[in-house]
Amino acid sequence: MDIFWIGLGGGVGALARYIIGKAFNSSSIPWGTFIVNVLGSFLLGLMVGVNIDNRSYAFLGIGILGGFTTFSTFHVELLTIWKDQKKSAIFYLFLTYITGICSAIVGLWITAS
Amino acid sequence: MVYIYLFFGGAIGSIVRYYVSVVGNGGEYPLGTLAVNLLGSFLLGYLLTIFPKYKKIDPAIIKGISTGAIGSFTTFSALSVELANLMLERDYLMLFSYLFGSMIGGIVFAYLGYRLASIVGGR
Repeated sequence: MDIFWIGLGGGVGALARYIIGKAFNSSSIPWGTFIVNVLGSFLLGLMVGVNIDNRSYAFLGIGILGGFTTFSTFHVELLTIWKDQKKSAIFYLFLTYITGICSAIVGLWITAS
Repeated sequence: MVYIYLFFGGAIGSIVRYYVSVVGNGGEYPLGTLAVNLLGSFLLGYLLTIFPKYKKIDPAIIKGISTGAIGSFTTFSALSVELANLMLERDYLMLFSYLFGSMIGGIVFAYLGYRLASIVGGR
């Protein structure tokens, strides 16, 4: 039964990511991808801190937030940016990882304490 | 129409991710997340290089497969939270090996996918 909720959440997450990407991914740094990854990391941190039931976690955590954030698009973007703007690529790489981990920690702290 | 493809692509990608990461994340090291992320980066690098050569494929289907299915198959939120937990547990060896494994691995796998597509579909 969890599979249904994971699939439904993943579909919703992917749609939301596409819409945000379309709105913000125009400049040399794909800010849309950055926003979904950082926001999704924060929200998943919040969710892991509170103990929610398995089905809600399957839908919201694994489905929606798993589908909303993306690793593959982020790394392929890095390759593309690297081709003509090496500094921007390095900046985007470290900015996403550092901000992503910090957001997750803040999320965990808020709900775990 | 693109929204329908994106939705179903995202649904399928997430379900496959769930199965792969359940199998892989059994141990202490989150190998399942690393496996889906590296495999997905390889596939996306490959597909985005090969797709432009097939002009007959509907762009909406391409979006559904790349942004939808592969995008949802991989995940960044689980990775961030796993890294955050390793940091809070002060497990620095695991933290840095997982962090650099993802960072460098993701770029290398995306590049390998791109290279493979360039060789296979080379003109």
